[in-house]
Amino acid sequence: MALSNLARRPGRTILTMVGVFVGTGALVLMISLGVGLERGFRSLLAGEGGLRRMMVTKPMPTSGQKPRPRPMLFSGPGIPGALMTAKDAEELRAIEGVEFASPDLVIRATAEFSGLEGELATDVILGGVAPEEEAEFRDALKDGALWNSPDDRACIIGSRFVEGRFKDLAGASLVGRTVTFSNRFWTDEDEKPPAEVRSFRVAGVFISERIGLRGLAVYFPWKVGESFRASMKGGEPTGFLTSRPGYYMSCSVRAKTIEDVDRVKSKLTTMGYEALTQKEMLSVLDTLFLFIEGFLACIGAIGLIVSLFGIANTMAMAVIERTREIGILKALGARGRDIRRVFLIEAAGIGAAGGLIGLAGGILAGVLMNAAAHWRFDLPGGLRLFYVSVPLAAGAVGFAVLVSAIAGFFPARRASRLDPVGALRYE
Amino acid sequence: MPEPLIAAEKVVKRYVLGEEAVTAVDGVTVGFQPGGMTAVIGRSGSGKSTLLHLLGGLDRPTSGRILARGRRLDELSDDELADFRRTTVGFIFQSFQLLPAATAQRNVELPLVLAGVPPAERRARAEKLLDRVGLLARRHHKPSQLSGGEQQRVAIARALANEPPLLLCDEPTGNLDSRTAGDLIGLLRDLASDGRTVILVTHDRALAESSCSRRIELSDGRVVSDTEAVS
Repeated sequence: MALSNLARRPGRTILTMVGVFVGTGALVLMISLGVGLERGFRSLLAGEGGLRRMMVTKPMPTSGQKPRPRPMLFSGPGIPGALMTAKDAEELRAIEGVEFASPDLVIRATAEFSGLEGELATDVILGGVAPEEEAEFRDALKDGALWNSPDDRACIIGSRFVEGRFKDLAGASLVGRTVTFSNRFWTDEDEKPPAEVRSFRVAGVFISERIGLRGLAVYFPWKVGESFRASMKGGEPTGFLTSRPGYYMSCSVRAKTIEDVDRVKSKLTTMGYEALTQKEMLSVLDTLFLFIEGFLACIGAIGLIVSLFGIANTMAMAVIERTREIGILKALGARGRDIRRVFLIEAAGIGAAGGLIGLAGGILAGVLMNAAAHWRFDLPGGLRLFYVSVPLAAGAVGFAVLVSAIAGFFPARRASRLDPVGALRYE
Repeated sequence: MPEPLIAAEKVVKRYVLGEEAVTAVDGVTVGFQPGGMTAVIGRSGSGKSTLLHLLGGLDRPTSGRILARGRRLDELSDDELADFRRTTVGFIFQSFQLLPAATAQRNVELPLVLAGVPPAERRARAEKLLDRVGLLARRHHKPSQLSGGEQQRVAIARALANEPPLLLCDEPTGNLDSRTAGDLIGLLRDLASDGRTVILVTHDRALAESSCSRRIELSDGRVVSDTEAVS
């Protein structure tokens, strides 16, 4: 009965539905943006074994070493911090629950591919892969292979490395190409020491997402990387990263299991180290995105809440128009709750239909905006800025139905309380 | 004497119209035994429709008691009163009071929907009732596609849907031509002879005298005569 009543005034029903449609669409779009951003960050952080990883630094002693600011990517606890050595890595390796520990070999360089001379990518982060880490990188390879020997002048590159840096190489195979790295950060006019330049063969391409945050870098065999870093001494313009042989900014530690992470971290703390686990970074992100998504949801929900007044008005009009019918139903034995139910179902029906259409609209707008964002901003392939999950879709339609039912509540209650005799006489 | 199906005891109903208090029913005491057809007559404003509404549980008395098989209606909650109307009373109104957007069949099914009768059963029962009032062929028509007499027959079929023992008819022939009105009164008499209690409110004294064995006359909300023809 309720649904056939809606069909009696199609124009008014559709106009009321438009409000819900716009509101739900906005809600879906806003929350899907928050969810999409969160998923992007999470996939970056939680690569293969990523959650078992932690970055260990040494706090600055009370006196002695000069504070060194660290670059953003590697910022964390212990800023400014003391430098670490291979001895520290050995100490970390001995901790129970640690699968592997290695100093972080981090080099900042400018990259140039053969055949694309003149097209430079500055501020590229290069790293060394310790022998214990090689299996992880081998598993993440999508093309090519690892180096042939620890002395091989070869490198492996993250699949997303070229995105936004070398547009001409997007989609092309990188394996076998030659890439040149240098510490040439300055312009020719500056008076600086001659740049250190080294060329490497690209041996393989690994899936960036599988390596987590470090997936955007380029890697060498540890030994090769170490020697390259040493050769760049004096060439660094900022002093952000140390190039002193045997000294490192931080160490990477990987726990044997997820359950070991907290235990290892507390041990590290008692030993005087500081550690930031990717698990912690994720929990920080969770809180951050809770706020972001909550904020976006509030903006989206405003539209839906505004539509509440439209529904309330439509239902109030319907009660007035159908006063006599309400009287008839009461004369036939309808209870107050029967009448209330009819109007609540009508209101919820408007919400459900408007919500479903709004959901479809929101998804479509998200798809179009994802495409536009990829076209305009050169985003990583798998990243979806707007992501509509099943719970979001169900929640948005459910919320639309709920809001509509709330909007219909007072008119429905008024209808249920009408005096039957007065209602029957209503003209 | 057996317990009346429905009875009013010293019932008073007052309305407030603007700043003026109007006494529509003023101390009426009447009882109706099961079966038979009773006319409640009186001029416009005499309180006969109000009395009918009180007897049918559509309205509550200001004072006095309405008793349905000894149960006090004036003490029932709104929901209990609705249950009483659904199970015990069938209303037939002068203006038919059909749902305009629903077909004849759907209108007849309405009380069954409210009673929670399953769809297949209510469809069958509605068709049977429409057949009884001679409108089975027009069951898919909406009220606007039916004549006044046909609409009133749909209303009668609807009133009978839950097989109530009490039929309350408020000027049922008021909007019908004399021939159609005669047919309708015949139908109501058949229902009364089947054992239902039919109370017919009318201002048409001749109709009351020709069709009802008992006649109650109201004036200014009071019973001025209550006569029963000896058959």
